[in-house]
Amino acid sequence: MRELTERALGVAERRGATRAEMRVVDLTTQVLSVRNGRVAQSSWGETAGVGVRVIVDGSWGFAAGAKLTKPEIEKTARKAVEVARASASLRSGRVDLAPEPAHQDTWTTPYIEDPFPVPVEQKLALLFSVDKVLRKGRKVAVAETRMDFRRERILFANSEGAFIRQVLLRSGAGYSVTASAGGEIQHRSYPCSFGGQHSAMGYELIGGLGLLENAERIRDEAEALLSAGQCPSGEKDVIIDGPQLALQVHESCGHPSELDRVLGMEANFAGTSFMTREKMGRLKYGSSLVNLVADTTLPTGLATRGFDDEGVAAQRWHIVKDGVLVGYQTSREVAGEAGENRSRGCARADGWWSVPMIRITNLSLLPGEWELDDLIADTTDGILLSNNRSWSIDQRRLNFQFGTEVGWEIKKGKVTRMLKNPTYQGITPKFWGSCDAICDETHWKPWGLVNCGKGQPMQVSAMTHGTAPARFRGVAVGVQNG
Amino acid sequence: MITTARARSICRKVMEIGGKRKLEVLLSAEDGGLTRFANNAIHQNVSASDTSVSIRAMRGKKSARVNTNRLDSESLKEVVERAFDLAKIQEPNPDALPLPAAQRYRSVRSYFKATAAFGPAERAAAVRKAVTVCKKRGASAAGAFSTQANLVAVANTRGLFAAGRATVSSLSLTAELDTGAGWAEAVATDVSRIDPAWVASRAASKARASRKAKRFEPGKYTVILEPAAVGDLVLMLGYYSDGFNAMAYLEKRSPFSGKLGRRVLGANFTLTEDPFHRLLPGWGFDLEGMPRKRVPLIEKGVLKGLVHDRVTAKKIKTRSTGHAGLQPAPNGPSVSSLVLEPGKSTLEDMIRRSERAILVTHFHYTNMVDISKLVATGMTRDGTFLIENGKVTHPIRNMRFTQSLTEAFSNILDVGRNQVLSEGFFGGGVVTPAMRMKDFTFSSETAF
Repeated sequence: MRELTERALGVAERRGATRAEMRVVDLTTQVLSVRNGRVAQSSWGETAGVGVRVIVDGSWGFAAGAKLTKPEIEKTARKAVEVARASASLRSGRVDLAPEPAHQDTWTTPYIEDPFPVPVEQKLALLFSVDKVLRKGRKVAVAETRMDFRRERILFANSEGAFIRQVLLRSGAGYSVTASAGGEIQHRSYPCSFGGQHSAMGYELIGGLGLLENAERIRDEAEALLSAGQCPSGEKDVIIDGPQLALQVHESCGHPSELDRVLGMEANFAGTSFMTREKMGRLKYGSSLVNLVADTTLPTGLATRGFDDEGVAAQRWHIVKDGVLVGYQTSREVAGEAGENRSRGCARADGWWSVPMIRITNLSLLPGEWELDDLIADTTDGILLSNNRSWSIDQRRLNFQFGTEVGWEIKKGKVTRMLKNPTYQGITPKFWGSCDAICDETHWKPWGLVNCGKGQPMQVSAMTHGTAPARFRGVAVGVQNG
Repeated sequence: MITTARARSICRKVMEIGGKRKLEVLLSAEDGGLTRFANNAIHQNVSASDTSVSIRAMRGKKSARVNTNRLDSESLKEVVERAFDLAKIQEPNPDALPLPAAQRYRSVRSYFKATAAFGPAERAAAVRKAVTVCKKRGASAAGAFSTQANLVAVANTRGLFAAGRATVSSLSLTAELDTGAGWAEAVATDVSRIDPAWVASRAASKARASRKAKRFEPGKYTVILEPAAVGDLVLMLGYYSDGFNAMAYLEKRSPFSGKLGRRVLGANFTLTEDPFHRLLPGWGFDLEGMPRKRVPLIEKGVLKGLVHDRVTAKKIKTRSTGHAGLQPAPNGPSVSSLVLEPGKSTLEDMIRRSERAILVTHFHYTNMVDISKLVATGMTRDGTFLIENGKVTHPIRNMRFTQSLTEAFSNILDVGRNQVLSEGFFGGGVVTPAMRMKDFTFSSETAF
């Protein structure tokens, strides 16, 4: 393979590329799902191909193809050069990459049990057992259980001499139940929304999720929501649970600290950022309790790997320290724009067909010192918000509005009743500035997110956000049609 | 991209490997390129092509699916055997239907050679034109020019074969000037219909007009929504809420469940699922090879129809409308070609008729809040203006709407006469005119 990569990179260089890199990716996936007592999906997939990225005349070009023969890979390299020449006809400066040693290394996701050889019958048996419990509810319209596994073998090589092989493994499982009655539709899911919990682990993840143990509770909550009280409108103290807070971190800190957004590269589509460069070290992002740490080395993190897709080694750094903006997520192209001489290693592509771009890495809220029971007892008039149902945030990541599956009213330190259709809305720095309590490490969990869309063509990436429940004072809740 | 003959040959090869066993092949091929620009320069330029097959092996009521883009004989043999091995260990699905027999299809003209042949140099030239217009107006341009060609073929061992090709191209551009931002987009199956100078000029004009936006109190206002903003709301109504999916309807998780034949929206709202509309890309069959049909969904505010695959059609003894996804599709069929009937007004008419209203260019990050009540939320962006006494008076800061779509589409005052094809933020295409509606709720503001 080394000979093949050298030849392809050589083709690009001979045609004028001052720098070239290639990724040969072989992706295997398995998805199993059961819906209302029937197998909804049993699929196995594989896709392989090569992506070549070059710099010609100071501009980027990228081409990708599925055929892995020598002539076809060389053809893809020639196409990348052609694309780069077209880019060079409208450039503002020359692409200049931050230096990185030419690593020659291998890295594999640590795991105990490879999920792919685990018999399909065994996997389906667990899904069916959960499905059976979920469907015992009289008002249950749909019960869906799911497991999915993904293994990505990546070979990266560049014209600087890097040659890196990585094997990235991910497992996931979860379920959701939809209850319906009298025109009302309510939804609960476990362990978290949108396909369940995902981790960079093997099949050992599944046994530790407590899928069956929680099925009855989740089903009963979905049905109870049909007749629960409506979330009131007004300002309340809110305690946000781990999975929802993970999405809050993602949307209100993850995306705005991507330096390509800050520099306007996403201005037309996903938007820009309020975390502009002159605010570095000065922007009061949140209260002094708020520490947000990016970490490509986080155990079980979905963005954890030895090297990013530009060959940059994994790192850990603060984005927000003691409430102040102190860092960005960067690539080799833009690291210098943040005044740094090395990339933070955030460039990833979602497959062989995609160009690497800055993606949110594992980004976590560090734990505080509270017990959850004590935090509830300390709250006079509040709502505990659990599990995401809807999300929306403006193009500079300031005005956000989230909905959760369920809310729990807190009065005088006690949970008093269930609330349906909870929503909350805020402006990012004001919201994080109102954070006055974060639960401790015993409540802190890494939550995997697998549906992060960014870029054009849209790329779907995965990352992990570690969070513990936290309290925010005076938040607007119950935003529903005025 | 591969030819239809080559697609047929690959499908045949898969079925030959299967021998006498029953199977279905879905072949997808794509060849596309996209040029992104920001700060008046190209910063990303990509080209990619792929051909893959998805094989569904059938063993009576059991089935399993295997996908691969390795198309050599040995790899195909391996995946066919894997698919049948997987099918063997499944639980039987009582809803599973035999593979459909050969069908006849209405032709769809949405493949244009000019679009398929449009290369990186042509895209760069178009982007240069657009950027030049913006620069001349003192604006900074960001956006993307994309061209894509697709081929989809479905074949099965009962003799069904369907194949279709489509192209689509789009130029989306945001212009920024001082504190102002403006946006415009052109989407077309035929790339020659995209005029980069027109798109850039429109975006730059909006950017100039939206400088020094004033703060505006959230509340209920009459709004004039340009076609892309209407398109976002229609995608929420038709696609993200699963409103017209027959399975969702039967399972009582559609917001329209139990309301067929009843008035659900305003009398000036007519929505059709129309795979044959002249503006939309697509092909004349669904993913199990059934012919697509035009389906009236809402006529003058009355819920008239739903989309079906063969499974939902069997449940209520009707016929498939050709809206199946990959089978089995337990969540049911899906709309893909939503077309909102035009009215008679121009945008200028709507502005002139408004004593006080807000003009919205487009929305950002629209999402459903409550499906059962069809409540959606999202942000205005790239040009939001106050209209007073029939004239645009000044730009206003962006605001968040939180609005019941049932109420919004029951409060329509005017419908525009020009239909425009828009791309949704989360994907999908929709053909919509502009609209004026009363009592539209803006629930909060942002800082710009």
